[in-house]
Amino acid sequence: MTEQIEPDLSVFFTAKSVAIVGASNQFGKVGYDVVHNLAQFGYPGEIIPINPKSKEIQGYKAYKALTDYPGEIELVFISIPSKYIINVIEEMGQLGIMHVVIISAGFRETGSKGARLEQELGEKLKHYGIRAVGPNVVGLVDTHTPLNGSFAARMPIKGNLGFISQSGALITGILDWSLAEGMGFSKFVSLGNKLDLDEVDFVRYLSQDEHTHAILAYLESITYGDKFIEISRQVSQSKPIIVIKSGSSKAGARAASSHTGSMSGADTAYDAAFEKAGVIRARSVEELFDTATAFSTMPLPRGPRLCIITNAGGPGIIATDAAEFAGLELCVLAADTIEYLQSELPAAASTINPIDVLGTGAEREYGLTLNAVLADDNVDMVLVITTPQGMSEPVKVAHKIIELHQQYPDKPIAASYMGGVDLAEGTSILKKNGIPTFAFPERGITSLLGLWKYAKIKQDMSKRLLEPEQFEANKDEVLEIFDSVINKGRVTLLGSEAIAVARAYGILAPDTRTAFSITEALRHAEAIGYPIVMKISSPDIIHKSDIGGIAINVKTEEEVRQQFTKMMNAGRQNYPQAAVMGVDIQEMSKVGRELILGVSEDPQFGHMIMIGSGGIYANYQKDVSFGITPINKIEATTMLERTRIHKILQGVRGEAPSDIERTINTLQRVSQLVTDFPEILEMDINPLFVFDENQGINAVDVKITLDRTKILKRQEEEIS
Amino acid sequence: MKCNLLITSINPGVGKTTFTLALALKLNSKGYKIGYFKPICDNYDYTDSADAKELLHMDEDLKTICPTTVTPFEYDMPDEQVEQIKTDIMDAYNRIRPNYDFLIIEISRKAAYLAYLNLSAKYLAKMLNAKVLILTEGRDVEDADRFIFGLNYFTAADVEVVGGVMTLVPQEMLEHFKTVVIPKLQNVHKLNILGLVPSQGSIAAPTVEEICSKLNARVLAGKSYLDNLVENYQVGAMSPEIALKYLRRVTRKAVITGGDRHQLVIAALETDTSVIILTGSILPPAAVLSKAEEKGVPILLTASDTYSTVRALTDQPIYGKLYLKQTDKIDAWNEIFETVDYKKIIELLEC
Repeated sequence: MTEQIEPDLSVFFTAKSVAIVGASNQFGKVGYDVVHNLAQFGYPGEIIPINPKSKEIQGYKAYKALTDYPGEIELVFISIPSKYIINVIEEMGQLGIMHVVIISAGFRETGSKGARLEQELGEKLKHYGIRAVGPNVVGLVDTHTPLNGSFAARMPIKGNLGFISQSGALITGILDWSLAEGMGFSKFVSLGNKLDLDEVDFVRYLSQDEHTHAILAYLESITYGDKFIEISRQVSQSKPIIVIKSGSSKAGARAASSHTGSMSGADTAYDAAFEKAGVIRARSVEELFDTATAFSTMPLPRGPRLCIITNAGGPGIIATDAAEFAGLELCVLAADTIEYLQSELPAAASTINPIDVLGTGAEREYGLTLNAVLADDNVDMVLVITTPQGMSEPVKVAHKIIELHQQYPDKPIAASYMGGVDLAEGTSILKKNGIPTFAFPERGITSLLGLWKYAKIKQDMSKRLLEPEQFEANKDEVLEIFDSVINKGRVTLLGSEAIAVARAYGILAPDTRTAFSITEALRHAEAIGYPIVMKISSPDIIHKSDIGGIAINVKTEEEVRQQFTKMMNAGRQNYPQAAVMGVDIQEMSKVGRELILGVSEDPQFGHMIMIGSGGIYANYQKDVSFGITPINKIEATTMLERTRIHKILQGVRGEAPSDIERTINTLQRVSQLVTDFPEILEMDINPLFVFDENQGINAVDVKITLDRTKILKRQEEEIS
Repeated sequence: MKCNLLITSINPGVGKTTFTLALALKLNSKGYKIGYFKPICDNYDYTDSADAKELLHMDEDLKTICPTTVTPFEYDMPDEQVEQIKTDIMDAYNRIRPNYDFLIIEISRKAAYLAYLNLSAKYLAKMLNAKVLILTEGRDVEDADRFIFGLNYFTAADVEVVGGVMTLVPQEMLEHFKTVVIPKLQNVHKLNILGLVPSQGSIAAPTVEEICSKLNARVLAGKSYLDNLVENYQVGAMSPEIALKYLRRVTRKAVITGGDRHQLVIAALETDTSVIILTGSILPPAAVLSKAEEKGVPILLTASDTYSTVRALTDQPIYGKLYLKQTDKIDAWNEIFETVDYKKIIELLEC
């Protein structure tokens, strides 16, 4: 419930006394594990088991009910059947206990009955202002307090990564794995059904937590997307947020939606939202943790320039490929570095990045090379690759890397110790000393890339946070059109109405008028002037050209009559149920480069704006780039630059460049329009003709769909 | 002394029953004492008459309000039976007529119904001392032709037509009808146009409950929301990635799709949806039902396939009945009678 005032969640991790409702002596019960974990992992506060049938639980005095405990309880864990939980909340409310972790399942994940129960539970929590984690969670863990309020089997190593997970099972799995990997965590939070507290609350909390250096999250859905973006934009300026959002494949989306009941299809929306929010997106669990590892100990690089040091050619090339594909640059070493390396390394060694110290490379070669490149201003980060060869000294090299990292603490280093048995000791020493170390070079690249991505986010965020420019617009006219459309019982605008809306926001578009009869059509054509364009006008027909519903270059009255009749008949034949209103008569436009510009309201993140190659093949070309509104000029420019058609707009094969400036301007204007009018659900300009430089654009076909409920609500508010 | 008002249409499916009841309600509220009379029902369930009895607080029993039934399956009935029907109608009419200022008489289906047995609208109008109000849809200019046809049909039989009302007129066409079509109907064809009822979904919309009973469906979620009105139907056959775009273009709709298409259901729940009808007896995941419950949208499950379900719903459209508890609908009708000249109707009924 992020609409409430920023909650203080520290009690969940540092409570001085915790009660466990459903505490048990019976091994195998969740109520057993929670008490056991609190006790065995050194929770320093008061443990208060609640169980009506036992006097003592695992050596602690048990109470029949919360009300029976004489002292103060700060936090409650609940692990009893779902239907009894409301009573416990009621008791908490009476006692003034404001924090609860509802571990029990049996709510919305079970169907409509469970959903109703969860709604009731939510109302009860709200009534007392009690903040809740869950239901349906593994629990939560703080390694610093320490407080292990979960039914996971183990306690994580103390560290500085905070992990939020919508999957409880992932937590138990990761926890177990992290013990083997030696990876440390500050906190684990299981979100479960997110009835009250959700990812936004915990991202915000972890951003202020001194023990957490990086925030990691596994999410299947985001409850309040706009809040998520808003908070993450602030947080990401001080701490990295790395998220793995599952359900990005079609089948994955299907699985995720069946698991959570939420929309997860629009993966592009998540990409756009994460970019806006400054969140680093991981595509796999491995990527999530490879990225996170570096944040635990390494500084941020100044730039993307990577230097690779290897003792074998093959792995060096693999790393080079991975770096380039990922968007890192292989740095060009300074001349004196190369000269120095040439003088110190064997003649056969490669002294050009990637640097190959050869199979004979040992502590000395690695040491002098690493030292030289860390001192080189052209190098922003280093990947050290070691393979087991006859003369390798993996342990000594490890110590050298650690020593040099201490000497150059401002440049991140990752290591790839390619091997298993022979390199185990070196690997272990490196990891213990905070050097992100992996068996294979690609993972080392992932790790360094994460640092660079975050460095870039920090660099760019200030520009991205600039308020968008406000253009002059006729809001009243738009308001009037929208009201009239809704009052006529429609949610889709006729072509002429949509064009009028665009024009009200300074988006250049041709004069367009709707005719209900041939007589009217002739009158409009006369007023606009031949030749004209004719388009069938129906709120129900989306693809007009498919049924012959568009005619261009109509030159005579006779043609107007013929086309009108043809279009109306075709409309009625192809769409017998559709309301075919008439025909739009439009001023003829010269032809430009065809772009598409669209907006769709994403249920999670709000208006998602899109630009790319347009025309009738737009759906197939898939050359589009997305952003979340409102966007400023920098964001609009980045969006356009990311499309393939941008190159063509710049002018290729001797063609004149197109009016990129006006295109970006139009993108910003559309962003302003949909920001001013949240009731716009969908908007499409296709094609958007872009003419040569300084010649402008023309939005010849505009479609808009409105949200009836939002408009009615606004109308009601205006009346009251 | 007032004549009775007989309401009929050239084509079925113009919202006749709801219009008739709403007109009666309106006149009652204006202080007239109006009774509803349906001389011949076309089936044996008497729902229209029962609704009228309830809405208008009529004391007569259903057998008086609708004394006879003739279905389309008995055109071969003997002449004596036809005579008996006429007698029964007259008997009931004589019982009910004195209790009211006048009766509003509804004709089953359309004006020509039972013409073969000499029991069509024009015979009944004569028999029951009624003047005729013709309803027609106003979706298309061709509907004007139907008015003229109706006017000629009744006047040729010496039955007086008080005028016509156009229903279901698309809002965009209102202006066109008002300025172009209607003046000609009035001036040239001498037909009083007594109302132009704009198309407004909520008027004829059935409730989810009505749809559910028609389909014999099972309610999986949203039991508390069966009063939702359904104004449109949409088949969920698109891919989930583009579904929102299409689903958003249709409001207050029933989305009909297979039970295995749960992503589509979730998308539909994000849009203006009144009910989701899952076909093929495939249950969706629990999380989807929870979502529906939260959004206040019922989910129905039917054993039949999507095509048959759509046919069942649209081949014979379900016209939502007017219930007293449906204040939405009654409000909508009241608004509409701003556009219907009921005073003129009363005036023209003078005998």
